[in-house]
Amino acid sequence: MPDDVELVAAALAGDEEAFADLVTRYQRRLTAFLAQLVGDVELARELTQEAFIRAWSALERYDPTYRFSTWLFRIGHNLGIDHLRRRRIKTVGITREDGDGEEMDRILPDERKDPLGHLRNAELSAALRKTIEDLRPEYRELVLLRHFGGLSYQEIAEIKDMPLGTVKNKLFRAHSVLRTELASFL
Amino acid sequence: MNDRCREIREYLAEWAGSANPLDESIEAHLQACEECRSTRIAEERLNTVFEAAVAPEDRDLQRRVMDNIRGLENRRRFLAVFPVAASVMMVLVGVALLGGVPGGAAARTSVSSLIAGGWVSLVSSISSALTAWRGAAVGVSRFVAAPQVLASITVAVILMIGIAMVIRRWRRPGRWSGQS
Repeated sequence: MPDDVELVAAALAGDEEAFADLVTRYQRRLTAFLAQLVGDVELARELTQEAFIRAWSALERYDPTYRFSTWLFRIGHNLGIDHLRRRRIKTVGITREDGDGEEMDRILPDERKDPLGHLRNAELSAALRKTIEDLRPEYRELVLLRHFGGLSYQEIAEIKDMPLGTVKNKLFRAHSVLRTELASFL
Repeated sequence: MNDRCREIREYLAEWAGSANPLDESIEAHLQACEECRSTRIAEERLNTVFEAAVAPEDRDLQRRVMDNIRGLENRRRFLAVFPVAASVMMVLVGVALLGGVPGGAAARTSVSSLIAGGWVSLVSSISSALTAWRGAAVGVSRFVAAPQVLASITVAVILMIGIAMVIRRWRRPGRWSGQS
């Protein structure tokens, strides 16, 4: 099976099927990561699609000394963060107009869009969602990259521009919280 | 929790539940330390929970992405061909307006016959442009630059630039395109 760099080289030479293989390889993990980040599966699919299109358009700028996965996830991550920023600005605008901030600021859960909606155990799904939401932001993002993005510690360190030791330490602490909060399900 | 326990648990947080077999020294520690043993079990279960939490694949997503990419590629190719098409048009119009170039078939061709002649006229014009190079060399050697000769040289240069542009745009040279 060709590795990522070989597939990128083939795509740059005009082989669209090679890029399709990269899409197949990463779409599930990227969608899962973005779904947790933005809290909406449908939106995550759109962002994933956009991330791949941007990756294709910028493929000649990809530096093969880095992993393709980290480059792709960085594109996806930036798209997700941009979306969250826009949503925040939009929400503030609406609440000001309506003069009913509390009501409009609340994001109502939609089961069809719930990133954990496919889990059969509803209690576990709710507990996992709450535990992830309650994590400190610096831990939360690393947990999402690790467990939903399926990235290695080294890849996370590259994406976040952090020393590997810091990633290990933060994920160790995050796991301690997760094990405690989800103890009844483990 | 001593330093060794902390080290083992950091390792378990990274690797428990994965296909990676645990190191012998870690296995020995786990045999002796009950807390680390229970941490290992919890980490393996946590891993299982996360595995199940990743949503199933969207089989249609790849098709949507590739449809979009093919649309982008078609547009890019059209934009790459456009300068050459424009150059060729300029050649034809320029040659026709000048009444042709010295020594070429187009010299005897009017605008209407150029249009009617289609690709034959195009080939003839290119051949005329090549002839013009020779004419230009002769003209320069005699320090005489006839307007038709200069026009032909300009047209030929435009054509060459157009071809160079299309070759450059059609390919997607990366900084590492030579690598496999």
